[in-house]
Amino acid sequence: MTYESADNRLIIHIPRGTKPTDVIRLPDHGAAALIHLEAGAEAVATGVLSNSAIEVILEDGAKFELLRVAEEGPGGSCESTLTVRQSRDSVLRSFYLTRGGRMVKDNLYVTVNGEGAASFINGLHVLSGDSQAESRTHIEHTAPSTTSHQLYKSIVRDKAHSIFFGRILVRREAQLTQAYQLNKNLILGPEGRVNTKPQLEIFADDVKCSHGAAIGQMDEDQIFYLQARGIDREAAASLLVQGFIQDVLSQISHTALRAEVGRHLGP
Amino acid sequence: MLKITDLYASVAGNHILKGLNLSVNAGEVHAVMGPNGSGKSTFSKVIAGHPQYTVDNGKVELEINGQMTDITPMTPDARAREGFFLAFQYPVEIPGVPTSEFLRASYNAVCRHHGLEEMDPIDFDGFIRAKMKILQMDDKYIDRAVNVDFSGGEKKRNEILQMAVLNPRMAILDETDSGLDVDSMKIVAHGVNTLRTKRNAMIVITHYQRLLNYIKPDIVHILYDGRIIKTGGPDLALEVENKGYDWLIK
Repeated sequence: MTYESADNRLIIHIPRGTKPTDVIRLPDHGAAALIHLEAGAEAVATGVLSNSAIEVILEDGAKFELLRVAEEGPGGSCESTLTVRQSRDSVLRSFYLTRGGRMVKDNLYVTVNGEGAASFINGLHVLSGDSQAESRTHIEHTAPSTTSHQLYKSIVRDKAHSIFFGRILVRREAQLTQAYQLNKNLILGPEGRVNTKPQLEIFADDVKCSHGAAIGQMDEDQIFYLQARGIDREAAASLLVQGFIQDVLSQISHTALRAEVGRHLGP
Repeated sequence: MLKITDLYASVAGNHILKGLNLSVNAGEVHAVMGPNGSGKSTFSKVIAGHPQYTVDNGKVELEINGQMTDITPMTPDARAREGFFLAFQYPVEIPGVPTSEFLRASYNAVCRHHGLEEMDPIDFDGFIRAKMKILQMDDKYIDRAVNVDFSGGEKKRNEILQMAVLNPRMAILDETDSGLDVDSMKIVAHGVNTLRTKRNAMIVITHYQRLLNYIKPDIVHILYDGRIIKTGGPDLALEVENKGYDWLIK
């Protein structure tokens, strides 16, 4: 693995055949980086990348898992961008986590550009106070037999505001593509807000695509069921919130990254 | 153990229970039968403290520390910690919460309340697996989210598993037989019978006599239009099975 710096941009080059040993820690905040995985290389990376522009190139069969955390104080704003280009049979696993700020924005562009490539793109907003977070995902399938799975969830307390725009574009040549997208939101404050806009544009005729969005509040039947087993209301609500985020956390395959998310979410 | 006196209850402005009286002593199993719409499900939810139901009049007393105590002002969780248990007719799915974690949270909440030591995950695992054997439940359910991807029969077994974990003094089984095939019903009934002691009591709510072949009641009540209209021995259930409810209602 080589690191170099050019035009204030960090370039990480991961040669053919590299297996992930340690998690690559990207420099905190303000990072601009190009991460290049050669054919068959595997790597895992993470960083607090509140203001960042990360570009990733995955050559044939490369596997990359990335956890990005955006951290801001209640009054701060930041914007991050991830751009990924995937070749044949490569696999991307991306997870984005934020607790929001005055405005915390993320833009994600993935081009699934090689036959058999797969993308797993997940995110979680845990917002309180009057914080806001906005995630925009843009997935473009340009080669046949490619897949993308997206799951974004938000927990919105107090007056917080979560925004999700998800666009999936399936080009004419991307036959047999499978693309799924789901955005689920749990509003826990009387003044919490959620905007969600899934978009699907399909130009190929033999594909499996679906998208969906759900916005809900704490389920009183579930609360009652837990209470009927001796668990007080507060503990019941906290179990349900944990349960709500569990399925998106379980999308993180690297255990060290999952622990990292746990640390950021705190008690 | 449980004494219900002149209980009136409503849901969304509809009066469902209209002067219900029922008394259950330790060591007894009572059956409550009745046609659809007689108030059976309301009855169980009111005793458990479901927030959508309003008690308009009357008392529900549970024996707590040797004292008959009105539980109607208590939250559902406080009732459960004092030894009341409801086996749900429609168990609720809780995605993302593993069954083992849920059961341990429940068990430890009750232990904490009674000043007993909580169980750590490893000890609890052994404890729970032994209980699952009684109900012939596959180990795989322990790691699944609560009631998610459980068949109808497995959900009902899971209710009785929770009862076995909490070991309540007073339990109401709300149509535990609904949706069960005969084999599952025998297993569930065996689980329930294993939990039956001289110190606890149960009310079995059922539409059909079938379940009562396996869980033998001491006393049978007929609920109609929100009150108990007839009380008898186990023969009353058989009579209902043969003659229906019409002769009781007229």
